Amino acid sequence: MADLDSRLLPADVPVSEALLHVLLNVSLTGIILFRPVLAANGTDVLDLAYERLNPAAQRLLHLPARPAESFLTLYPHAIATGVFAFYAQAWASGQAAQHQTNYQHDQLDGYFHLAAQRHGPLLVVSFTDTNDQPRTAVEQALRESQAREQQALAAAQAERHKLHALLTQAPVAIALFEGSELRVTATNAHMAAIWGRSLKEVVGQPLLAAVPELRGQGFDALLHQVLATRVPVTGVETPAQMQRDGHLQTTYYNFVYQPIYDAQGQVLGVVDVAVEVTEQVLARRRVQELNDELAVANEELQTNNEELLAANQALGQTQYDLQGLNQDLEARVAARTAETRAALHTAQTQREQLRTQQGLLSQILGQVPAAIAALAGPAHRYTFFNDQYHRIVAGRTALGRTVAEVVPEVVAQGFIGLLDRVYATGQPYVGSEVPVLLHDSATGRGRQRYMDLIYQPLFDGQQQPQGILAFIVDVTDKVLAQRQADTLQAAALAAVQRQSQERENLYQLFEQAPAAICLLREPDHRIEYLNPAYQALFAGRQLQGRTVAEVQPDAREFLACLNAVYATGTPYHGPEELLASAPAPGQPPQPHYFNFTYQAYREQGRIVGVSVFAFDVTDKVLARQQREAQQAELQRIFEQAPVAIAIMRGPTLVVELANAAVGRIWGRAPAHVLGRPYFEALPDTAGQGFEQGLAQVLHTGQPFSLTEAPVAFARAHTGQPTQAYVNFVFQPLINDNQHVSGIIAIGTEVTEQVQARQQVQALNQALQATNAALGDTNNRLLRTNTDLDTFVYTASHDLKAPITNIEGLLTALHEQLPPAALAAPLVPRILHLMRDSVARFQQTIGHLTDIGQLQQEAATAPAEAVAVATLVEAVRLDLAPLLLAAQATLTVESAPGLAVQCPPKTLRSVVYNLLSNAVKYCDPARPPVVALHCHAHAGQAVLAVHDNGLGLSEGQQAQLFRMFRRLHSHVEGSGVGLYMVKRLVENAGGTITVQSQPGQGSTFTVTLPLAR
Amino acid sequence: MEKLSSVLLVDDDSTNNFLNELLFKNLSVTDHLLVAESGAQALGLLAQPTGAPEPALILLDVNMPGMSGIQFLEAYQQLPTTQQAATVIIMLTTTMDARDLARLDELSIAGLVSKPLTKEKIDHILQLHFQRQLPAHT
Repeated sequence: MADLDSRLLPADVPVSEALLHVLLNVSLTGIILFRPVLAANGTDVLDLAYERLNPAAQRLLHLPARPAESFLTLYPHAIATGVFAFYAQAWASGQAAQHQTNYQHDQLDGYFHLAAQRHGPLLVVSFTDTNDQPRTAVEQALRESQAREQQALAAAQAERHKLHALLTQAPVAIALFEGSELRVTATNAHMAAIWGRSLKEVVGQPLLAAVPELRGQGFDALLHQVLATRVPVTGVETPAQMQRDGHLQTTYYNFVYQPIYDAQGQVLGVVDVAVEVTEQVLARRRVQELNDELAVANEELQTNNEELLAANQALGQTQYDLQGLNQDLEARVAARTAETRAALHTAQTQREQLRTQQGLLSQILGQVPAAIAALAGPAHRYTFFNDQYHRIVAGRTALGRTVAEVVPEVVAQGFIGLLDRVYATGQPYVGSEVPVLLHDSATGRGRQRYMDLIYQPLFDGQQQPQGILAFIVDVTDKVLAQRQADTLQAAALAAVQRQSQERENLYQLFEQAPAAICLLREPDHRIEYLNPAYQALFAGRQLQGRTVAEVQPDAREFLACLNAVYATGTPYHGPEELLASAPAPGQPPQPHYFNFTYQAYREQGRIVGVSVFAFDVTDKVLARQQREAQQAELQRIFEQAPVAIAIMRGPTLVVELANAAVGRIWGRAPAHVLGRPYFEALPDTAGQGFEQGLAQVLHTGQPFSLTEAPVAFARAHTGQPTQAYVNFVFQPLINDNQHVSGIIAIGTEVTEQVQARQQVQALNQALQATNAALGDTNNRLLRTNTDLDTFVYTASHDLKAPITNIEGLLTALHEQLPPAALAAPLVPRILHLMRDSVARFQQTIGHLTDIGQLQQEAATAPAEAVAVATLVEAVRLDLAPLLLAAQATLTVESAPGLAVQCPPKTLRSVVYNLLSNAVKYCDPARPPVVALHCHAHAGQAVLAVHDNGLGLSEGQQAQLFRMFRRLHSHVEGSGVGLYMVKRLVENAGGTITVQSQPGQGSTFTVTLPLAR
Repeated sequence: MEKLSSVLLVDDDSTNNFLNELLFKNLSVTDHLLVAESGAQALGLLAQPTGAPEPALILLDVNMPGMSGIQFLEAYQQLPTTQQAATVIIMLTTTMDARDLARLDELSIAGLVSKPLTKEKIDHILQLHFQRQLPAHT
């Protein structure tokens, strides 16, 4: 630096800040001192901070000397234009670098020359702006063109703003969709409101992404159609599901989808102009609904009207019909009137004819069998009367006299009044059976008569009454007869009513009667009456009025019975008859028992039916049947019981019941005994002491029992022993009055058992005697045995001491003898024989001791499982020297695993003795060959020792196992070996036998128990 | 060999006593050999101070008429213990009978020797109970 300075500056001008100030102030180029903002790695430049701008730079950039903002804050376009990269590179290289740029951003517009170099922590930048220079014509032209373009751009921008304002402020919803994804490139708040979204949420988004609920509603398809066909689409009151208040709601729109073209006629997109008409649509809908309701109401009114009209027409028709009917009636009335008139005329004509015939009639009248009188004038004077009449009035009539004069008694009875009325009115009077009290001349008193009267007025030619014809028939007899008949009839009726009432009363009784009642009528037994109880027998069936044959077609016996009663009048009583009544539906038939009474009933002495009375006695019958069944069961039990049962009654004990079992004991069939006093029927049992016992039971009421009581029965014919033994209990029978009425005897015969027991007892006694005898023998033997043992012990003990002494004394003597004596002849020999004898004696005592010990051990040594092969091998080893010396051959065959149950010492002694004996007693003529076979047979181990030795005669064999029996003298032996072997084998529960042939050899066979 | 202070022979068999006396004298085991022919006599000898020293060894026959060897032992055990402690009792038996052996197990004796008594047996007793040995040449 010093070098540089020395080269740049004259010597009299020192390097100073003041010089730097001056330099910066006068520089026509802009100078900027940047302090780069470094990244954490210390190398990468993130931004540049201003340290200082010289006045030229301040002017060119319109910035203060030290702006607070960073370079990139002020000139963000510096990155895009590469200015920042240039600075960063200059900083990194440390070399001076240059750059040119036409920077028309960030309120700058100029062509800048930039030079930059790092100086320490700073980046020093120098720059010029071509604006400071006069521009070339080309540049000027360029700038003007640029300005025009910018103007056009501004105009376009203004236009765009206007359109934007139009778009946003339009009172309709507008949206522009572009591209196949229908991206919303422009829209306004109305449309956003329709979509239920904010503007931000939808602008720039594909329609279906921004408003997903439109999926599947067909609008996107329509938009695509417009894009493809370029034909606008219009929608009127089109429904759409839109988001409103968080729910999808149906809303309605009028809209136009209009394609938009660019200058080249290409479709840019589709503009959607829409108006929501939901409210209008809904309002109209409501109006339509109201209209529909009104129309329905109208229709109903119409229908009502039509119905009313129809009713009116019907009424009109009815009225018309009534009119017709009226006319018809009037016509008929007129016709009837005419007929009536015609009839009246005919009557009058007939009356005329009658009158003319009157004269003729009077003549006739005199002869008729009735009383006839003709009266004339108002006073009713007789102008005619016939004989009959005369008789009635008791001959008092006379022509010309008045009725009142002739029969004054009728005046008070009103007859004159009747006549007066007929005369006055011209109307005839007809009286039937009119009572008349006439005077009887015979008695002088009034007599009651009954008359049929006709008072017929008689007219003159002017139709005026001029008299009366009285036509009287005396009907007194008839009336009286009829009266009598009536009275009789009334009485009869009353009787019938009374009967009916009575019957009714009976029915009432029947209705409530507990019996089933039925009244049958007629020979076919028609059911006239039945009460509910009877009906109940035929539940649910109609009986009344039907015949028995119809109701019970199967009941032939019943019908026969009814027929008999009907025919003969003899009542029928059927006790406890089974009637299988018809069951109620679903119920099994119930057997019912009835006591029937069929009784003929009569009317006027004639049989007209049968009454059936049936009393239900089912319960009674069933109870009795049950009782009978129980009784039968009891009887059967009695009969079949394995125990003997008899019932006896009364003081003489009459046998009332006896079953087969008791019969067998008695030796008599129960039938021969029943009904007879016991001791009379079975005299053989009398006098055996039972009378008192039985009498006691009757007397005290306490049971009496016999156990194995001997009884003699006379029953030899049955093959049973006459001497019987029985177990019996005699139980008192108590009657209702708490008195003992009899005895029930229950028991069994135990003769066989008693006899068997007696036999057993006898046997037992015999056995006991035998046992006692055996016990005695046993005790004696035991004592003998003990004595023998004691003897052996004592002998071995007591003999041992003296022989030991003798031995000692011999030795002492030998020592005391002077040598001369010892040299004397015979002395040494005698001494030797004496010692020899002592030795033999001691050996015998030793054997005796062994035997004693054997006895001892037999009682104490425990038996155990001993493997035969192992033990035999051990013995063979022990005998090896003997075998070798005798040049004997020993073969052993033993079944594998064979083991015996005995003390090991026993088996060892047995095998040792037998084998050594076989060698010892060999035939000197041949070398001994000994074979031992061991095997199991019949649950025993069998050990057979076979030799080819001397053999034994039968006599020898018999003595073989005796103590101290020596059969051969040439061999050393004590004579106790085989005795001990036999004792050992027998003590272990085995046997020993011998088979032998002298000169051939012997076989000793030992059996011992197999090991458990 | 140091002789025993005193030896008592108890046996009803006088011949046996004679032979045993002979044996003891020949072997010079003791200078004081006492002989009793019954248990009672032996007890009498022990109870009566004779001026002779207490026997160091008693040879007792099992089987004696009157008081047997065992009865003698029972009586002997009633004597003061000091006397007993100094004395070794060996029982003599004719037979090694199991019944005898079983009985003797219960008795407080030093040993059991079968008759007849011999030089070897005495030597054995001396070695076992008195730590002495007979001279070889005698």
